[in-house]
Amino acid sequence: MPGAVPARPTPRDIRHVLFDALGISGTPPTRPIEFDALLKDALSERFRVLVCDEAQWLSRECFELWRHLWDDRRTDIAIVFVGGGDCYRVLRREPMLSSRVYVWQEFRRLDREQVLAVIPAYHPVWAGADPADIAYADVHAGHGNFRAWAKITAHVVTALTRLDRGRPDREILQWVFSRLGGSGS
Amino acid sequence: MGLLDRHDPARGRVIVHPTPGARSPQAFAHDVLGALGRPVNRLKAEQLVGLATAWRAVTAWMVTDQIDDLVVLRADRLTAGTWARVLELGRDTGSRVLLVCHTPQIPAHLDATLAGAGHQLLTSLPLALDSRSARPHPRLWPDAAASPDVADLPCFLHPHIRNYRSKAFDQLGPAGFARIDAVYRNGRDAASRWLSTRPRPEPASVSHQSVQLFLTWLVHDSPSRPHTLARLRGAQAGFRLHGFKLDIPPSQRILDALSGAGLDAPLVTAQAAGRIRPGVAHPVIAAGIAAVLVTGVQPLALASTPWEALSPQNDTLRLTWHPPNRTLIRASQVTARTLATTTAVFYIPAAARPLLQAARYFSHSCSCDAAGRLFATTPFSNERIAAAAANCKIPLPAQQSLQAMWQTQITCTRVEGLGTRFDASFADDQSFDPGPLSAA
Repeated sequence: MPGAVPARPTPRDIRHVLFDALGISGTPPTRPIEFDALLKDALSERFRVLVCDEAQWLSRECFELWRHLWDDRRTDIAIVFVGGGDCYRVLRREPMLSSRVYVWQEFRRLDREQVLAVIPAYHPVWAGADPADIAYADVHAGHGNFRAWAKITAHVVTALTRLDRGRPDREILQWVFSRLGGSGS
Repeated sequence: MGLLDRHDPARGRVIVHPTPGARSPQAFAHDVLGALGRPVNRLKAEQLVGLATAWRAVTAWMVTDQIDDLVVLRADRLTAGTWARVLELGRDTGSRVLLVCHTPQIPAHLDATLAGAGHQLLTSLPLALDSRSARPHPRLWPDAAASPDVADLPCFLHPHIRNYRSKAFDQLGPAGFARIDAVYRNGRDAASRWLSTRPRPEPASVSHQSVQLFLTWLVHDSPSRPHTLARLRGAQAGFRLHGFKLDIPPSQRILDALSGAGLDAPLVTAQAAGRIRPGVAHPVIAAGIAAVLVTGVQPLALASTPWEALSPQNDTLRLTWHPPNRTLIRASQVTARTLATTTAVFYIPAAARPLLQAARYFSHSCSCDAAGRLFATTPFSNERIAAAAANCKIPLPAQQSLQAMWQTQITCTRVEGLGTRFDASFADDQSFDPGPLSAA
């Protein structure tokens, strides 16, 4: 469910995001207990997966709210906390929450072998690319990071369109690196 | 099994989970109301948002629901002010309070509130759980047994008890007689039992209001107007057997016109009370719905009911109507004029008693001057009670004036004993035996 949460959200922010994301009609209640009762009603209608991105920025009260919603016997939800940096440490700091986490999944950088396997499938522009060029791009700009590869890919698509070429090569990658401001020389 | 799973209000144990991000004492009061099963979406509509009002409602429901154990999870997140309120709640209700801190130690500012309060420090969950298990919770007022006479009854309007049974046989035949006689005898025997247990000396012990109470008890679970009429005829016979002449309104008026228990007032069952509790948060409004169901009068007519109108056992409600005096009179005439007042006594079914008890507790705890009125501590209008009843999906009866209640029209007088033609005929009727045909 999509919903924009402020950088340092409060429980009130999360309640409102859930209210919008769940498509609840009417006006959001003003009192937290009423709000939570309404959210629990909506979250008990059917099974839902709630994804909470940038979880490392959440306060203790916010984690308490998520756990509160999950603990309720009526609600039927799975919550996925996603975050970078010290997300794991932040979550571990909340024993009442972390003791309820079913699976911890750490995402590391893709190694070279994984990059060569995944990137051709990620976007058509890489499907016919020379594996050596993919490895070259990963060494200089991708670094096994999917977000970096997303930017590289976007620039490659632009370059291929402008130059009317079918697949990336070193020349195009050099141009992309210059756009990224990375170590493309 | 964790503490949250031990939540069982019906067995006197309530587990409260404070709403995250809401730290005020009144927010916690609302949490307790929610944990007690009261609707949290009615707080504003029922004017329970304020701090003092919310805590008074909590206290009233805690007492009425007979909550022995109040367990507060995440208590370390609450304020010292809330802790002080919770400790006071425990003192007022006699409930044991378990404050669960998810911290290595009780935070100092919270620990300070425990000074002077008898308490025990438990350091593990098993200790907290095992120190006292929820016991089977005896309900103060078990539901009344189902009425035995639920079959349809023929309308039998005969007004005289001196030959009621023989006339019933003549007019209704064996089958009709058997059905109506079973109900009649039920009323007669109940009246005899009630009168035989009255304290001596008579007749002072059989006051008009006590007769009203007995009769409304007798018919409160009556399935239809003909059943009510037959039970009342039986009661007349029982009274006569004990030397009392009990007059009731004419048969046709009981069947068509009058109101009240056994006629058009719905029986407040455990199911009905079970719909009120999760639909109304305010004790006085919940009691208002129950009172309208029991009495069949308008909420506005109940608004000025004094505390003492409800018996200490919560099983009797006595309503009085003073007719308005719109005639200008001289001051000297005031004491000479006595306006007739109407008093109606209602039997309160077991399921409705806790609701009225909660209202009494709530009203008593009000520091405002409510002039000792049972329902005075909240706006108590027809519209408010109707809206709350609609929220509970409870249809209210057609609301009549107190004068339309049948029990206000009964009279009971001591009469001379045997020897008259009436008594001879009555005795014959009591021994009337239609023979084996009565089993038809």
